[in-house]
Amino acid sequence: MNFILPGYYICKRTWKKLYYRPIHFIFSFIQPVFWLTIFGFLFEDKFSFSKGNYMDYLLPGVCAMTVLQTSAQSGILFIKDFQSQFFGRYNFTGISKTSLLFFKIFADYSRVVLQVFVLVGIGYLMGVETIFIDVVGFLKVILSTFMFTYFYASLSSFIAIKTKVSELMATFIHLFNLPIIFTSTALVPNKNLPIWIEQIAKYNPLSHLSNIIREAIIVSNFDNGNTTFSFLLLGGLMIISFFCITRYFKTINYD
Amino acid sequence: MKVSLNDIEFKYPKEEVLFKNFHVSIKKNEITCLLGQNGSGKSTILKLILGAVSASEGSVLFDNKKINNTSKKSRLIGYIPQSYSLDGEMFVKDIIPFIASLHGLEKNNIDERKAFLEHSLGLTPFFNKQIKKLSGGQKQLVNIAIGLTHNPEILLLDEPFVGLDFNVKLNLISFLKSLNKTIICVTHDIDLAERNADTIILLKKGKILEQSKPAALIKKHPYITAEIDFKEGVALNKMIFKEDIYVDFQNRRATLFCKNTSLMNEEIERFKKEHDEYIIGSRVSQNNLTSTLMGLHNISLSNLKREKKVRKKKK
Repeated sequence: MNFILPGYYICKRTWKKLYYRPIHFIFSFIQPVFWLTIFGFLFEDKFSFSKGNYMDYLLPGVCAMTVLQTSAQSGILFIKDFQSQFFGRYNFTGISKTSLLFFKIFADYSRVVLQVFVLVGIGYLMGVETIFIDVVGFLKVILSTFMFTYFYASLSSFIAIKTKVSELMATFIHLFNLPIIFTSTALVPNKNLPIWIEQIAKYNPLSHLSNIIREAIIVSNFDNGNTTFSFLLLGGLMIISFFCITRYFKTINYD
Repeated sequence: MKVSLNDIEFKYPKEEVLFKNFHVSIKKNEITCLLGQNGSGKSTILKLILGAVSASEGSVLFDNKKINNTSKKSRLIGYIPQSYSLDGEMFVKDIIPFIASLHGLEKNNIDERKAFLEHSLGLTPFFNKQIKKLSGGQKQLVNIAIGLTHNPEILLLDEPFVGLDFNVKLNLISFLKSLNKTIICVTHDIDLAERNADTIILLKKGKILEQSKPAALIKKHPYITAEIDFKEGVALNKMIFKEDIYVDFQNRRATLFCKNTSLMNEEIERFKKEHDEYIIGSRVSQNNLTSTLMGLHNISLSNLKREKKVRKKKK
């Protein structure tokens, strides 16, 4: 069976929803812009950097947070499909569960990439002038967001498939996202974090995504840690998460 | 393609055994209607063929071959479920290629099928609309189109004509007939079954009561039905069992079933004598599939009750 064509149609379904209801896409920028505006002004003079300013530091972190938020909502379409019983349709087609999940998340990933680059543009308009993206930087953003999206969207899909309840999905988003954000280096540099949070931030995947994006798009001298380790960590999490959810997905009936 | 269920044993969790040593063979390129009361196992037969549920014993064969590969099986079977099961946010023009692609059709085949179904099922007036904006009948047509997207050899229809206008229903039936496929249809529409089915399978609690052509079934069980309507205040037993005649009394209407016209007339006369002041009107319908099936169903019910009574007496 050709996997590319069903993959294209699965993605097209998500893209069309986005096209016909762009309000969701537009609204997804309001929160990041708030973060940039409010945090940008609040902490403008709080942190000192040898090169660059806080807005330069903040923009990649907000991009990473947007990746987190969008990936966290990935399971919602599954819940809608369960509620409308559309999910049962997959039972009677030849599509494998792995392909279904892969392309469903890929559709969300394409949205994530678009969001990240639109946000970079917004950041530029808001005065972040140290943005520089070369081919390597572009590929780093593409790859790191891919890994993070597959890691976190798999978790989100697991919650959706397991519970089939939108309220629990919302609880998952609220319960996990904020702690992940505030225990990462997305908003605050490592050296300014309390020691116990600093320890958590070292292993927080959002910190690693922020660091990779920061290194890839900003010409400044921030402490981005070892980005090779960051890629390995995100890659590992992606494989484990996607593998586990696929295994689980195969054991359940679509009904 | 011929479909056969052999030696099937099946039960739903926490329920009684539905099928035990169940056999049925469905002929190639025929329309077979499954009739029977709720819980008789009609939809379960469809699910067993689909592979949506598995039998603990026995096998489902397609042209005498067992097909375990889900992908292969899904290419063979088109399923039209009772509920619409549609994504309301999608457009009609998008949902057909979407499902077709999941079946593994190539791009040119997808476009071909999309155009064919749009015109054959009369989807053009709402082809560019969002599904949530369609009427119930239009949604049902989309539901049917989805079942046909991959041009399957076997069509499983679960109450497919619910909510459709009379004209649309007739057009759809003639379209389905023209496809010349093996069609297995679960329905409560006895009239539809009588007019269109090649074979009727009458089920009761997981057992086949009858399997034959509609005309043969009527000939074999030529029941006549009579209905007598009463005014309020009439006092009758809920059910009356007599030799060769069965009377059911519900909502001030007595329904009589029997095979003998003179016996039926005698019984109606008796009713008229005994309850004349309460009778509003009566009508007799000659043997058709409805009266045959109702007669079969109710006579078997009365036999069961008789058997119970006899057992009680013996005790």
